[in-house]
Amino acid sequence: MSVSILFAHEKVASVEDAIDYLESCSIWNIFDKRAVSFINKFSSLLLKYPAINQYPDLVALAYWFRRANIHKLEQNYINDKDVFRVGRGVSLHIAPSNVDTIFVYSFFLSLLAGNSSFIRVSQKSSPQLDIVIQLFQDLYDSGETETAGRFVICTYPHEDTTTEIVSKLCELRIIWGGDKTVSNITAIPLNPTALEIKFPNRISFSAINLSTLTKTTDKELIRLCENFYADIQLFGQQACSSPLALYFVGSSGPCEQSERFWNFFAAAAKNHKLSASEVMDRYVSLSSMAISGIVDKAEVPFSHDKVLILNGSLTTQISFRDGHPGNGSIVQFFLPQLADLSSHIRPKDQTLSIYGFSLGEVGELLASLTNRGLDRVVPIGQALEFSNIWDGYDLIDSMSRKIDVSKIK
Amino acid sequence: MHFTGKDIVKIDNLIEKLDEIDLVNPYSMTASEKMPFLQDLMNSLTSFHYNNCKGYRNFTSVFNDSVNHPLDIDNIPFLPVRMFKQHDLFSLDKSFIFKTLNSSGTSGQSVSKIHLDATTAKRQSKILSSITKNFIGDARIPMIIADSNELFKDRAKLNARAAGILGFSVFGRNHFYCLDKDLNLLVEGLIEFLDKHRDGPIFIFGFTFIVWQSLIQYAIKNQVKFDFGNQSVLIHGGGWKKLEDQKVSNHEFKQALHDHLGIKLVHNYYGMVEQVGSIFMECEHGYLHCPNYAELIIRDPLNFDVLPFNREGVIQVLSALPVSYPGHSLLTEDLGTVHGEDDCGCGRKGKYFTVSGRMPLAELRGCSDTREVKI
Repeated sequence: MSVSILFAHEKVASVEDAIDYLESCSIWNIFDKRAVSFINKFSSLLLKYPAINQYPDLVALAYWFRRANIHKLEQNYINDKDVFRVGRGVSLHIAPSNVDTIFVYSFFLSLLAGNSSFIRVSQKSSPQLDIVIQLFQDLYDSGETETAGRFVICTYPHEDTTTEIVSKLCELRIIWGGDKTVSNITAIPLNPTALEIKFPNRISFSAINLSTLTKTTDKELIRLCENFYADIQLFGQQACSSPLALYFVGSSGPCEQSERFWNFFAAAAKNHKLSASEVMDRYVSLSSMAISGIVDKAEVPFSHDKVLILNGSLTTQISFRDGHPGNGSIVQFFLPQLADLSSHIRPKDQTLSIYGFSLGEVGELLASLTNRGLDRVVPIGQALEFSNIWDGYDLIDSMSRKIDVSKIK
Repeated sequence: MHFTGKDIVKIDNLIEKLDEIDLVNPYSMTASEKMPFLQDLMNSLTSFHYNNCKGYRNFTSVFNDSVNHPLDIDNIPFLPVRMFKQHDLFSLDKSFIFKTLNSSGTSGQSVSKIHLDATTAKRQSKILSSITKNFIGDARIPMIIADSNELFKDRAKLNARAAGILGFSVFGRNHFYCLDKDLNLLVEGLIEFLDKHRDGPIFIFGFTFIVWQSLIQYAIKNQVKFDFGNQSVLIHGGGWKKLEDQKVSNHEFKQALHDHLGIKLVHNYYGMVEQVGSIFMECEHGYLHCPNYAELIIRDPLNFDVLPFNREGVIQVLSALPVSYPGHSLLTEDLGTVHGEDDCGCGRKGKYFTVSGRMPLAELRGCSDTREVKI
């Protein structure tokens, strides 16, 4: 086995030790004070970390796990008198390779749910991961050994037997990854009582109500465009929640308001920058989509400092979901009304980020869906904000166990 | 749309134009002669493929409407060379497919499929012959192939390596494949062949890495020197990636050939399965040369603007030969520098350049699973 342990209790020197130690950790109640306190400390340390502003994903992480938010989250689960909530036991986390910090969300929620955790991170190192591990070590060294002892972070090649060994005894397996990774790991036998939560590839896009846009002031539009660009820019537009397309609702083709939007958007995206390799990758993907008839016309098909706006075709069988280049490319569509979007939703669709629609209009759209598509509807600007409700799961609820006490008076 | 139905160019006319090319001297045209000629050809080919290949027509739609026909040579759309791995692009009726070339594909995942009709294939051979003869002369001379004849056991499945060998072997006679199936040197056979032919010129052909690995390394490790004679010429191609990994430069490669094999005339060529025939051959001064029927443009990798001479950038290759498939203007992922035009010390006209390597791969990306990132 070629496992390197990146973070663990000092008694843990091998995978065997790790398993023994994690199994010896007792199951905690949900929102155990020790877990809450550890996460609070981590969040404030991270916010104070020098040069943290270089890493917007870490800022978002620290902010999400701030004290007030955890307290608010807790209120959703502690008032149900019919059930008693405890952890499941050892949880196994397979973190994705490309979004370095996403595993911290599901791992912390697992910690709050009362579980101990065995975490396999990608073999690729990143400054974000180094910072997170450094802070865990600092917390451990400052005496937080009990909570910090409840998890082990390691890395090993996917073909290593470690996943097999841990899968046999864990009570919860969480897999982040491309479809192929998810299928490969799902095939590994799991402890029969264990639960599995999978986060495979997903697709996301946005919708803007053109009739609302007519009433949007320039100042509001500047803000909207900045938000939309921020959603695109984070993670190189390659996260599952990154919007790849934009549906303008209320017109069957380009119009004054859509032009106005793009004019303001160009200003919001003025600092867009790609590396030479990203420019090439984007051009290659764009060409491929064009050949397939998915998109046509790009104003400036190459430039590294521009976001590409492409015209999408709603009629083709192949969709923008296949081979979208990311790296700052938006496929625009026009729909007369929001209800028309329903027939364009595919089962793998995850986040719809919107501007200018009421909850009633969104409700009508969701009621008309015919497949498993769409797990989140959020305002533009919050597409990449994590939520404890993710891909259809209430994560605290799924990661913990409910003991039925409803008949006890 | 920037090309209209009026532009339909009869393929016959196109071939006629192609056949007007000077085959005797493939490096005869100066910039002022070549530009109008090439521009006309490139526009004809663009129109032809636009009208006959739906995928190519779709591709050109990404370019701005202000791009008007006829186009400057710089504005001819450049198809990413990777497209032949992802799409089946053919501009003639399927019944015209005479053979399909496959690239070996460095990633090992996807291979290019280049469909040739008989006329295009024939033209490729003709042009390759014209270029090669410019370096080794007209006579068919004894030939050593730095490869194994096992490659041809299955003639139905010819990869790029086998196709390359077949393409060049017509320029030699008494062919000797000097490697066994595991690419070990057949030493006795080689010595025997050299003893017999070294008084005259010998033509050696092989892939750069195989020549390095199986010939040069053999001689170095076993501390032997071969004598290929004074007039021998080596032509090699296929890319430097593996040698770059081992930090071997073209200069060291040539020095080793000189010291250990006695080969003094060495010509690397730059070419790809997507543009067979109009290869770019290295001259005696160490520069790769554009023949009359091909052109090279260096573009800024950040915005694809055309770069002036002596600036390194992404290589775009143009060739007049691809009629059966839209491969006449391709954007490679190789980096290179044009050093000048019409004034190389070797006397050949046209642009001359060097290739410096491949663009690094973008992070986060795999060819098969482009959207791997999770959140």
